[in-house]
Amino acid sequence: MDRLGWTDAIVLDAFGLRIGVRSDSPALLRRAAARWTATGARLVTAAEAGAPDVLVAGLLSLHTGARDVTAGARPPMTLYDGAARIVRTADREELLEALDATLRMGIAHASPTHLLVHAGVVGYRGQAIVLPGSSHAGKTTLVRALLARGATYLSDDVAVVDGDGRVLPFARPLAVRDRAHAPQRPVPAESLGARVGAEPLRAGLVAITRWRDGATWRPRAVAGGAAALALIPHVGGMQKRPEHALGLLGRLLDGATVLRGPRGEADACARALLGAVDARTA
Amino acid sequence: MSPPPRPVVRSDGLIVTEAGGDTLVYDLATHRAHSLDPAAARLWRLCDGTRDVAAVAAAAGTSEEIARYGLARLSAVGLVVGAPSDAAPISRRALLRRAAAVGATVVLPVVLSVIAPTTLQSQASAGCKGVPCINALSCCALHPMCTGRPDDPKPGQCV
Repeated sequence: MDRLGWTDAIVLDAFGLRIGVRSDSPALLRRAAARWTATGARLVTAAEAGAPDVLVAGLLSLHTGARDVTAGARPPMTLYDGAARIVRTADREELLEALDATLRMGIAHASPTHLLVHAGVVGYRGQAIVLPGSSHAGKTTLVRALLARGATYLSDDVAVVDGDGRVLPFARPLAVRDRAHAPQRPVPAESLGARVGAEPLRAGLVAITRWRDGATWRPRAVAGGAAALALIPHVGGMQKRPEHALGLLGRLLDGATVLRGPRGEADACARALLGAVDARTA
Repeated sequence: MSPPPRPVVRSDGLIVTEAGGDTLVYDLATHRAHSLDPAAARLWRLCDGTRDVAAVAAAAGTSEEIARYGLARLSAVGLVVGAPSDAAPISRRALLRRAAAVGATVVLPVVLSVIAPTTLQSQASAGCKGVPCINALSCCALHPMCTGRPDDPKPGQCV
């Protein structure tokens, strides 16, 4: 691995973890770094580290074969996590997506300071509306419907919770599917005419829902331990750091209204969710 | 004649916290989280190994039947050891029916449980297995492979 001709390396400081990323393609590494610095991570400088070697929690490697002059054709690109091969592909976007997913998984698993909840998040009236759900639950569709009704964008796939229980912006482009089970394509929130939130927000409303054909949004409120249990399936790092995760989960839910139930069309659900926040703040 | 069992809480390998009036208990051995409502939490905390079921019920201010029901629930999820094992444990429905028959209101202890996911499960989907797809990008991290081919109009499935 170390003899593959790495030319550049960065250290990302993301939500309490330092993760190294190296590559044989400076341009690709710059793109990878830009995607993460836009979400609140920052690059650790050599001067800040104070030493030529920086201790990292993990090392990811993006190999493009750019310096492989013996290859007859451009070889496929590869992402490694440590020594484990994660993906081999000829598509740069797929490689960067795999890097993002691997970084996110690592942060969700091991962040000592933050909690990552699989959820869409928008801001409205100074509060976060958190929409936990697994893939294909319709989080992005509901986030889009909320943005169309004036909410601000924080994330369509992950709620990053800080030590005070506030939800941080994690404004990656929305991963939109044009039809069910089609591939996702990135759509910047700004291109939808939405504003992107810049400040951490306390959760005012947590809506645990997934789309069901013909369903109508008639949620029931859950509270106390039942509300925490409803969120646990979507919380990263639960098994690794349960005390930390339960503590931040409690702070996230402190003062929030938690609703649960299937939904039908996203727009009707979005209207009801914003109405619920209006009622809370009236 | 053997003495009546004196149930005792399991204290090792548990993380206990509060959540809006309920008690949350995380079991490090099974990676299950349990929510005890105030009635269940009261019973649980009274199981110190010095009281039998009748004494636990008296201290909790409830009937022995309801205490027996609650202790059975706590025992089933591994939070109490030494609870009496009834051959035919009474059900929640039967207790409610009996109370309704005499016009009484009862507060039954409630224990809810959930399995904590691994990080991969939490950030991906437990539900994309078998969903139609045309390539791997249509799938989730838990079931990342698509059996379909881009040049095949018939969709595949995430596996």
